[in-house]
Amino acid sequence: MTSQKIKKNRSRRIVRSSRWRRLKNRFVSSWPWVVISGFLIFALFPVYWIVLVAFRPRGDIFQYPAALLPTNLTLDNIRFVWFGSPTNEPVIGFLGNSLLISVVASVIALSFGVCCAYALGRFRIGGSFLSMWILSQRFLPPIALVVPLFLMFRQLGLLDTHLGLILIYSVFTIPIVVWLMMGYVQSAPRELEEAAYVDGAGYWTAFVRIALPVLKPGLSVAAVFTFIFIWNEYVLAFQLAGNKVATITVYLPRLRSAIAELYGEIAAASLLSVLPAIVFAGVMQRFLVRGLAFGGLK
Amino acid sequence: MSVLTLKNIAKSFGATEVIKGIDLRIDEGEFVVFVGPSGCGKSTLLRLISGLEQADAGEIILDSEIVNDHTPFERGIAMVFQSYALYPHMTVAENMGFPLKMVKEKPHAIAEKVNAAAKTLQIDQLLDRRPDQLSGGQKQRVAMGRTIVRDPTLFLFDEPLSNLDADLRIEMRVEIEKLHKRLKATMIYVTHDQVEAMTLADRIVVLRDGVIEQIGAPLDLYDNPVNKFVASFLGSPKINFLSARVVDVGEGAATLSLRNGARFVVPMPTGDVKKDDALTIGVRPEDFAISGGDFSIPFDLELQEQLGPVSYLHGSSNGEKIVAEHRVRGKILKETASTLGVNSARIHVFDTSGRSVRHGRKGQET
Amino acid sequence: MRGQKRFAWLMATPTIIALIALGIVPLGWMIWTAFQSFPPNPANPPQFIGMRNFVDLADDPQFFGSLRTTAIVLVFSLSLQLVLGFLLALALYSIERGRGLIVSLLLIPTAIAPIVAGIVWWMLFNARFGAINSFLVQFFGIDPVNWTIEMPTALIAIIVAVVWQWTPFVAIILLGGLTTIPRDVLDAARIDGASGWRVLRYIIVPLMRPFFLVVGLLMIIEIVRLYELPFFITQGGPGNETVVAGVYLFKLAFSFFDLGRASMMSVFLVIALSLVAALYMRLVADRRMTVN
Repeated sequence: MTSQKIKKNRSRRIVRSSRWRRLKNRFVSSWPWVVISGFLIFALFPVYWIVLVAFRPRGDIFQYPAALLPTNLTLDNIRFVWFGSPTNEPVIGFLGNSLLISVVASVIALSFGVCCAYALGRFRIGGSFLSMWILSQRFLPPIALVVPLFLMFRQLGLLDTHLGLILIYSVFTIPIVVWLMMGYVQSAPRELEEAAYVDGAGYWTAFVRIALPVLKPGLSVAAVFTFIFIWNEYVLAFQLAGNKVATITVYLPRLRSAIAELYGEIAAASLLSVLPAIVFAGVMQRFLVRGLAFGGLK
Repeated sequence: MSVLTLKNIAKSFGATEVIKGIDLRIDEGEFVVFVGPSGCGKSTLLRLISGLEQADAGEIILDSEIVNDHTPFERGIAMVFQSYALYPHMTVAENMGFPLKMVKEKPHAIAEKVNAAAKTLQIDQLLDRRPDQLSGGQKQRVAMGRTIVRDPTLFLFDEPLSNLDADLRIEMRVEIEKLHKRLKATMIYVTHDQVEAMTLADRIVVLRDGVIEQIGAPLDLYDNPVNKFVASFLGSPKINFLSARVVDVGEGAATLSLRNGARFVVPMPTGDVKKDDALTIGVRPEDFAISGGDFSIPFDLELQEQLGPVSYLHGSSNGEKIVAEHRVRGKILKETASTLGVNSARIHVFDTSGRSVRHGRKGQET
Repeated sequence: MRGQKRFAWLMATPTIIALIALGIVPLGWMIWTAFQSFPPNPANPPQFIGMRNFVDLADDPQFFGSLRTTAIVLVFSLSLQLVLGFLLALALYSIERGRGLIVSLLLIPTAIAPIVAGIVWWMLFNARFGAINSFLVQFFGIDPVNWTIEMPTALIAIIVAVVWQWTPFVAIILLGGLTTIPRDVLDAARIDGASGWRVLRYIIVPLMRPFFLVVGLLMIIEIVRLYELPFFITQGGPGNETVVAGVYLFKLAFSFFDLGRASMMSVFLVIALSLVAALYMRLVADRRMTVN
């Protein structure tokens, strides 16, 4: 091939490739949005469905095929759930139990967990064994321990009590708090506390007045995790309690096993149950990516 | 104000011995700088003095009290950290007032002292800001402010200027010097920057591998290094080393010869060397001259770096690398600089183990 | 500094005691009950029966059926979660605006209670009143599918729900991993002439390996402990086709009240999960060494 031919060839290829590249670029720059939109629809459609059914009159719910868009709206389902009806109990008591148990257990888990994470992350006591042991507790799912816990609680008279659920939820969430907070503790500069020691603070003062404020973002992430874990928990709430002390997750299946399947009421109650998830996801968006990545590997 | 004495201090982290038996006495009002390459133990030594780390062996004595078991606060020390360690959730005023709050001073007394300290450091207009709203130099000043509000007996600085850019570094260096003059306090300063060491120190402590190599006034160390390590650690560009051999030993002097055959006589304590000993001579870049000196070495100029008033000539002599300083402006021709003159009175002589033979043990006993 | 260790131990002690009391003690209790037989009436004391529960479990086709179903769900959900999650993570990584909002919206499924998720997907898959059949009938003219009461659609329904609930979480962890890759490294690879695909293949994926492993193991644990989703979507049906390990454990314990055999199954699950956890710890430790 002569050099002229090569040149010609190359220029033609450049023309073609630039057009192709423009097309490709357009595709390349828009593919993330295609993927993200697809996932958003997938992720949010069930939520949309809950909302839709929650506000849909009974007659419309049992239409075939189901209308995919809003039709008639009603507040009946919400009203039945809140104030009760001949076929279902009011949700208030369940909601109150959930709130009380979630808040108290979260506070306990956070206070125990952050102290422990600080001790492990800062002072490295107990070597790697202790931290590994505590972290490994995270891998014991409630369902694996539900049988012995049931027997133990029966023995101790803790079945169907607030105290029992609060105790067991705190213990189940402490490892989550330690797991999340250790990353934060290790990445927070040690020099801050050392400066405080030099300035005359003791260990406890340096922890409370210097370390804790610095760890605040991590603490809020951990608080969200524990709260949502407890709020959402069903297995223990159902087996270790569920009669006198029943939470919102126990309330839901009761609507289904009642005389009729109370679709609208289930949706309306689910809405209540989902609410904290949505609120907290919104509040936490700033910290979530960082927090999860930290916790995952530190 | 106090005297600090270290007696045979040792510290290990796991199996690594970081500080290997250090003795040191620092007098009242002295400004002492610890220098050394990274990993030499200078920061650990400072942390042992501060009380943030506990010594495995030895005694730390402040005035006449053994303080090994005292907390940093009980030792009455103040410390400026490399990262400044300003509390991110407190304002400048709260940062500076924190040590006073810890001793439960009254709020108005705290405010008074903080204001006074802020004024001397020219940060009084920043008192309501938070650390993340400050520049590097301002953070540095606040960190210093936090130390001076409580009249400590001993100031410790852990590479406090290493996060600043060149201009600020000079400015803050001067600031620290002024502070020392005004407070007349005992200060210990850790750095790896020899310029900071030379300019700030009353005495420099050169550390290597957890051992003190030499202690002395800056110029004393520069002029009379006890070994090759100290000689090459201080001075920029570095001191040049050339291999030499003893050809004749006389009374209080010896005749050495270089690779090129150049011979010269250096004063030397009798009996320290014998004929045919291999030695190393050290010549600082500024001690070379294109003409003059009492002997000369061949020079192969490879590169001239012009820095304005001074230029550095990079080249080699008989295969040994050399950097020479030249104080005349303008380009030098390779031919013009084909030899370099040396004044034998200015050279340093080291034996094979790297110890200075010419100056004996001088300067080591301080 | 003086008193450091003592302070640290004081800080850790409450947690250690709590975890022993309500973590280790039940574990021991469980091992003990795994060798007992529980009479139907709780007033009568349990009897030691040695390895009988183990033998019974080893002879129990339903037990192995539940393990097989769990394995099927695991294989399909995990591969979908990792592939889709990584795709989503890459998409999130390459956009500049709105990432925070999108991430928080995407995380809603993970933050929803599994029991709510189970109920919602049961409603969506409902043959008569569900949205999915309504969609198929109206837009594709397909006859309604009996999703939750026929195989293999019942299993598909469960897998869809699992993927729905956990893929965003996988994506966010992987996104966190992507953000740890220094931009310089990616730029350098581009300057060295690597195409987008090759950067992905030779730079990003190898660097993401630890994140894949960790999130994969977390998902294994999530799937092994599955209970609410399958139970509320299919109730284990048709027949026992969709009874996963968690559902069977519950059945043993609280429907058949065979607490001994249920404990034996718990022991089995705990051992299996511990192995997974040990693997995870090893990986985390490895990662630490390579970072420092």
